[in-house]
Amino acid sequence: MNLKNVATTGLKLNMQMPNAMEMSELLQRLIQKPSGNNFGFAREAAASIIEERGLPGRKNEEYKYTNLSKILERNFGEFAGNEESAADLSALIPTLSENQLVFINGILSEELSNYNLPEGISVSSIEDSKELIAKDVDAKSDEFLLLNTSSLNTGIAINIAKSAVIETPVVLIHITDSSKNQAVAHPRVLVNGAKNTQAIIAEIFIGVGDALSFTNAVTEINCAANSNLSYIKIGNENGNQLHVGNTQVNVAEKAVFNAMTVNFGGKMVRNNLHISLNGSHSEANLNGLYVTDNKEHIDNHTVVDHKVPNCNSNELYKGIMNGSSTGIFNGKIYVRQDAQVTNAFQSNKNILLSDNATINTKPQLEIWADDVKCSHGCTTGKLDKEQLFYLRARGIGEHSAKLMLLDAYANEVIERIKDENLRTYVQGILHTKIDE
Amino acid sequence: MSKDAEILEEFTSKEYEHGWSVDFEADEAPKGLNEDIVRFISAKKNEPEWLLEFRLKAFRHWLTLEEPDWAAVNYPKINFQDIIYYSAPKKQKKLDSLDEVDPELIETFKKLGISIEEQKRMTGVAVDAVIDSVSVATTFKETLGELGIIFCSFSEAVKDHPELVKKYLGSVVPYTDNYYAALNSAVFSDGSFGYIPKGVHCPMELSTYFRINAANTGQFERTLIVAEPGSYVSYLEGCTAPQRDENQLHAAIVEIIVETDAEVKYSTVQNWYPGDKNGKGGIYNFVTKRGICNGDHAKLSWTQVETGSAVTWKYPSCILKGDYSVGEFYSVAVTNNYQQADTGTKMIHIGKGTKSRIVSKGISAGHSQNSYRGLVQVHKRAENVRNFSQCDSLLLGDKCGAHTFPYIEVDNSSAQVEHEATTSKIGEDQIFYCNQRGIDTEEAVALIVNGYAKEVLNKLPMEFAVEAQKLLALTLEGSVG
Repeated sequence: MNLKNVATTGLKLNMQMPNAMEMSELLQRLIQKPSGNNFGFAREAAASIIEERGLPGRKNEEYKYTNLSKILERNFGEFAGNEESAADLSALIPTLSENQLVFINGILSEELSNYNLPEGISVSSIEDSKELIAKDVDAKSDEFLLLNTSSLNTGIAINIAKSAVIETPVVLIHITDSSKNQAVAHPRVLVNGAKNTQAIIAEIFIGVGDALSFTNAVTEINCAANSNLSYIKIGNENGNQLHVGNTQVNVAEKAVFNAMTVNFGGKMVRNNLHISLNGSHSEANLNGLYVTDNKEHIDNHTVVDHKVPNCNSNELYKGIMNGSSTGIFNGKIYVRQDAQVTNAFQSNKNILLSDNATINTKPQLEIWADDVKCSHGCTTGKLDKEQLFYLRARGIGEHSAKLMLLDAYANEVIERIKDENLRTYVQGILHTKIDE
Repeated sequence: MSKDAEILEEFTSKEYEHGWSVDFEADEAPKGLNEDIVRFISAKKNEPEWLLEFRLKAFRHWLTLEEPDWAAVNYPKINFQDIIYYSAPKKQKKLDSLDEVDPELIETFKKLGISIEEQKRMTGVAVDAVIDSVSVATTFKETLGELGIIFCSFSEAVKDHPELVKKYLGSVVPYTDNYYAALNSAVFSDGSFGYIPKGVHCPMELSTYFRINAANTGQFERTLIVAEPGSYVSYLEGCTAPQRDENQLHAAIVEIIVETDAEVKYSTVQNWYPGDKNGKGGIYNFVTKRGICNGDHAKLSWTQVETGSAVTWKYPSCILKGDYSVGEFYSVAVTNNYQQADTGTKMIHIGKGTKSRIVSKGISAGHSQNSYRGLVQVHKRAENVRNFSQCDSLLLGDKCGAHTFPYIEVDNSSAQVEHEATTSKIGEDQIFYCNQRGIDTEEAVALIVNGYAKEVLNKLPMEFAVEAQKLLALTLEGSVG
């Protein structure tokens, strides 16, 4: 079996890094060194791997289009730790659910959080899940995931008890506050869904402040047998924010996992969504929407790894690019030799609204089994002239007609958000964004 | 199902039929590669100073490069010092008729089922037969000469038309392009040169049969085709190679220049020795093929049927520079046993209103790995670009793999780019349907595979289509038919 590509993607590294000293110094600045917690074992191991490998540059195939390390190098060479700002952040926080946890620069703020957890769900420190964390410290792990682990401090675990059905979504709001100075946040969340559970988890990323900030989030989700979990990630960041999100999901037999990744901006955003279908008859649904303008740069990398027979996956990612922004989509589907009777579908659609916008897309299939039905499709174009004409012929102004079409286009993804509050929230941001 | 598996097994375990080799008195360079070897090759071929300079620059650049490892293929590391970089059949006489051709060579062609006289008489195809590195027989040159068409071996072109070669050599694939392009530029032995003057519609298919013959010989061919404004040419390239246990390296370069309103159709049937059932031996095929549509309304079409080679690494590309120019890529790649193919195309849209179409059909059997890797790139100033890509993979057997790596980079909002890919196996219902109608499973698979590849096979010139179908049969269908 030729697993060369899978195995080496993370390993081939940047020859063009200026020199080891500078890189290491940058890493030292980015890694937060809290004292007195129980993660020493993982932190040191992760730090030594990342120091050896460095942050990924353009020569790394996975980060070919997203050269984050260059920006980090330029801007965080002098970084000396987060500074508390006096800003009142409560005004920024939307009310979306009865269960809201708020994090400032990666650390849970009891003050701003507002929750009344229903029976069957509990929040604890991530410290109880040492084994899981240790598992991530691997030479093949994503560089930014290792960076997060090497800064591991608090981090929370959301545990959903066996057979619990949680109706209200659990909303985690991450605010990266760079109003006083540059900020670096390494939020870490673990979601454990036990057998037969059903729940919705949402993570919202917001930025405040004029200085550059860097959010490096890691979320791990474990779906036990027969569970049904939905995960919604909403990025509504400003032009001063760099964001890397690693979301790793393990799906056990007969479980269903629904992912929704919506991004409305940020200086440079990278989402790595990695779903392993480990149990047979499991299912993964991935939906994504990215809307960019000005010089924003949004990069979505997804991996669906079919490891066992009889699993299904469906993927739909849609993008709208305006201004001189860049959208990137890379969707991988792996079907391992054992994963017979697999159905995997992937679709990526893009609309370019301006001549300076760019889209780089790479829908990728790697298949080692034969009894499969896999397909992928991808399209890039501008708004359909005939549809525009149809609306304009009926007395609708050009601007409104465009809005209508974009709204309809984006809604194919958004309407898959089952929770009404979250859906309305996303639609609200979408309207503000495309109306500009 | 187990019966199906058995039959598939039988199909896919078929040994290579074209395995034989002819003994020429080869005039070989010593093994190894250094500046002296490059000078040796150049001197052997009586080359002018500028060409030696070109080779040396390429060689020095090659020394600075590292062997690429990004393709989804695995093979033992090549020892470039263990290869003979020059070997030529000794009998080098100017030939005017087939009687003067080495009888052994004629025999070779007969075994292949391609007899020169047959082709000359029946099909009107001019054959520039390349055996091991030096062109031995060139036919129909005179007929073509009347129209002003130049079709000759590369070394003859260097001798007779140095100004053309100098102008175009390395203009599409510079020696700095990649590792194997640099290697080829340094040590290329011979190849073909085609020049179609302004407004001339080439009346026949130009064709070259490549063969690798002496053991341990790397084959470094170089093809250069120039189509002046308003001209048309269809070029055929086909290969079979003798059975051998040691791996052989083949790193060719094909450069095509298509001017305003001209059209070039380049078809390949590749059937080099793929290694035996256990993946031992076989040819390494690392080829750089690229064409440029230099003028408006130019058209370049690549069609390839890839059935051979142990490792294939090949991306025929189109640079669509002229406005409204068109690029096409039609490919069938069949891999069996332990073959590995990483192939696809690049469509670089630079001009306004340029169009491209990609149809790639991969068929994997046995333990083989078959990858499509392609790039569609739309530059900022390229308005109203249209691209459609379709990459289908068919899997026969549960130990093979099919992979797709399409890169799509769009910098202009008026571009309409579509990509579709599917992967599946032959449905049991399809086989059942055929069985029900009295077609046995062997034939049914043959039928379905041929139907699947038909879209591409139809693009081949007729004589080639027949051969291509035979090759598909040889590679997959075993004793069938």
